[in-house]
Amino acid sequence: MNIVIESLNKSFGEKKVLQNFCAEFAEGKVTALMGPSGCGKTTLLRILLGLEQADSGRITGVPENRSAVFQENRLFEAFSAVDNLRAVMGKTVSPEHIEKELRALGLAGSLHSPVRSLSGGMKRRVALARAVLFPGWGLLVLDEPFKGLDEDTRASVAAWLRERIAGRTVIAVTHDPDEPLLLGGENVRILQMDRPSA
Amino acid sequence: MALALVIWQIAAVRLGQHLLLVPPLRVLSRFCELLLEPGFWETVGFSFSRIAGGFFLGLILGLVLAIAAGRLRWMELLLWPYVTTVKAVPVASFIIISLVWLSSRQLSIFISFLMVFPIVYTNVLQGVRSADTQLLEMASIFRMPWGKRLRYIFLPHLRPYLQSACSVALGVCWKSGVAAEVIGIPKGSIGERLYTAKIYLSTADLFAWTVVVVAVSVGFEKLILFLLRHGFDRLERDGRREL
Repeated sequence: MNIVIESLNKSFGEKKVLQNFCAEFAEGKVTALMGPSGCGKTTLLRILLGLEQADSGRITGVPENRSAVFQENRLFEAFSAVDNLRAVMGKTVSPEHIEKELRALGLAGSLHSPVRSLSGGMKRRVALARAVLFPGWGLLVLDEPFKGLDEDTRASVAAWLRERIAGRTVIAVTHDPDEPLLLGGENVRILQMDRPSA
Repeated sequence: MALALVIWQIAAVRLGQHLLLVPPLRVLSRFCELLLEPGFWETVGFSFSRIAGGFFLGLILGLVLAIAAGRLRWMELLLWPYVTTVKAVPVASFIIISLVWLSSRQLSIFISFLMVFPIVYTNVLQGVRSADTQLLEMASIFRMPWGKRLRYIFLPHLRPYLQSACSVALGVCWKSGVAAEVIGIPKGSIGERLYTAKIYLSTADLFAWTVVVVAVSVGFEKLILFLLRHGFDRLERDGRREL
């Protein structure tokens, strides 16, 4: 089922963030949301995640089970990378599988170190792994998924990500025009957003 | 500390009136005599059980209601007038009012509870309110059970708030609990012994019993803060081991 957004409005005080916003996100496809800062990309993601209420408008087709990589990593800093994933997944995903996936993301040497001792790029990979491996998601929301990753790491992480999100519904916010290609090449639909008129 | 005791000793010797200022050595000797008196430990036990009982009651209720009020605005609004009143009303007024409602034997439990509850409630509520909202949002997206949210997000965050609340509340509960006993004079309490010392102008007894109160209060505070520290450490360790 596609996610359909009709005439969505959202303001914070006097500031309009979304104005009569309409869009359709195809099921099983990756959509990249692009646009200038302040055009409401993150707000739209937060509404889709149920973390904000729209002032008016209609949204249909949002799956119940959602997963996300936020702008910030939002990890338990005292926990290890493995424990951060196990904290949200419980016993539904085996520790061996978690370790295998984290190794595939280049974190083999840091599996059991507290996350607070990892670099920004490593933390980002832990946050990505947590969101992607979270079982049963019907919608994955990615807010600047490659933030803090260097060129080489970005390419390898993107390859890892592409493999795991193929055929699933993903909405990603990005500022970098190269990132939609990294997320799925030609199959990625780009949705350009603009700032609401004053 | 040693200097303060020396100054006290010199001042008491120079004043020469033990009724007004008893020398510390005399207090120490009277304190040692008290330890050997029959009924001493029963008296300490009587006051300790009630004041500590009031403390635990205030701690548990303050903690539970603060967590609930931090999550439910209506609960905070409902409790606000009670908490504000308890904070503002002088303890002496509460003691006298409570004497009308309760027997003097139960008075120190209630007064100690009344002094501890708002301190714990206010501190913990502040802690709950300032909990990491980003982590809470993450937990709601990933549907973390409430037990895990409490263990991994709230408790580590509440730790300094609860420790500081306990540190303050432990001192206050002993002061107010003993004050309640001095006014209510329940038989077999430390408050009764202080009152008797005052009636008979036995300054050495007054000071010696005060030393007992300070010693028990400090010991109790150290024990509770130790248990709290280790309890939190253990919860965090066990929480990760259970993953």
